Amino acid sequence: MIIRMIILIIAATIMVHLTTAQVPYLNCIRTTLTAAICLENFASQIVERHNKPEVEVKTNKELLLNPIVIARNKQEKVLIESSINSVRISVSIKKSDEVEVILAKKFVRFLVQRAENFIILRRKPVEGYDISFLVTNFHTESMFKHKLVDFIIQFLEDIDREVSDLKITLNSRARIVASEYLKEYA
Amino acid sequence: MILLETSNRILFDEVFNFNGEKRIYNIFADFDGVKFHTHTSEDKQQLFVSIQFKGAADLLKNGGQTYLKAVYGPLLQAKPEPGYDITLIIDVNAPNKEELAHKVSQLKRNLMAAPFLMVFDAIESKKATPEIISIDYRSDESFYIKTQGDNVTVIFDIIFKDSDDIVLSKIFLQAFVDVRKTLNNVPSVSFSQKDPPLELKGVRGVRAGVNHGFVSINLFPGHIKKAQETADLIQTFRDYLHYHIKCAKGYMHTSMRNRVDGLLQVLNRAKPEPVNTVKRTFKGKFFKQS
Repeated sequence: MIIRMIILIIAATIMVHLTTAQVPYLNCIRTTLTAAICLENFASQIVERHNKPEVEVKTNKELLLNPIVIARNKQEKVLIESSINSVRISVSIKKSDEVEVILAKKFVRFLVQRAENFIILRRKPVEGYDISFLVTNFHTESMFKHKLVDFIIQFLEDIDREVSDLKITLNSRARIVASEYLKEYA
Repeated sequence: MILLETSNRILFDEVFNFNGEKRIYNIFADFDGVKFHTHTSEDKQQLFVSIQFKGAADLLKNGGQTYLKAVYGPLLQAKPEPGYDITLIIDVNAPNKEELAHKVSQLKRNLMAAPFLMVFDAIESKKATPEIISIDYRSDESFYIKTQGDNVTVIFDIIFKDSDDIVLSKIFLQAFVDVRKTLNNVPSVSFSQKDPPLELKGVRGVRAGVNHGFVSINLFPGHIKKAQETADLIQTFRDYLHYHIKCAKGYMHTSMRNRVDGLLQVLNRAKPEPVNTVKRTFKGKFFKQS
């Protein structure tokens, strides 16, 4: 009984440890986003009766803030570009081998096809990144800001988990398929 | 059911339910671009079963003719119907319907198995065999049978059109190579991408390229003794591999779909609940506040 409990505790700590490796990274993104999503309605200074996300049009230098890159390693990074009325968040997902590349590609395509429902999702990612979000002042007016940040964090967690889960199941499936076939010969 | 069947279900039903009362005219498909055609004669007393298969010419040359003759005997027609490669004619009064239907439904299997059985038989009886038999059985894929002493190496040239499929196939084929080490009495498997293996050196008409995968399955004397079973398995290899790659992709698809739905829920939680309170006046009249 005691041994079993110890094993359970060890297993639990390993699990916690695996996720804790990502925690400082996610925490950093969360705080940065909370600070960055501080938006107000701001109509275009150039064109009358236009109200565009300044981070996209980039017509006035004084309305843009310095972009920030939060990187965990060479591949896993987040670019946060903020402006007076909008924030653009671009995510690059970890891809350690070619299987992860296709899994990440598939997942991103899946999301982008549903960009209509994901309101803040940008259809095309910023160059060098896999997927981008665009949060404007209209989004923050109609939605809770902390929940929006929650969503982005959740997204980052999920995409990692999904890719690694699928990779594991793919490998185990391949093993089963191969052994079932070869067993028939014996 | 994780392994594929070798017989064709539709063909089985067609032959089994053939009773000379109804007119039949059907065209249907099977793996490897095979097309079957069944139709009854004018008086509905005979059923014509024809098969069209790209590899038929190669297969018939390499033991197919003799093996099909041995299996189907008088059913096999010397001259196939125009546009088809082999034709069988079944009489309505043929005895033992079920066995016959089973035999006919194995038409493609028997055709594919013929060169294997020929080679296995030759090795068993220590006769000389052609050094290499190449069968061009799909529009741009082939398989090769090579004998070396009392072993037989079967090499499949498998093409993947999609670049993602190349990656997935690599995982599956690597699994075949790895799993093989943990099992006893199984054929040895090896695979190479792009370049054909050494066994195919000097063979004419071998295609190579980035999207070609070469899988060599080396059969040992133990497998050659169980000729029929081995022939069944080896000919389904390519379809089996493709089938499971597609299953894996399907699984990924559903899993991602679920994950996306979950994410959407998280996002929707960010929207505040609409406030919809009804306020009443003293007399019970109310107005809606939106």
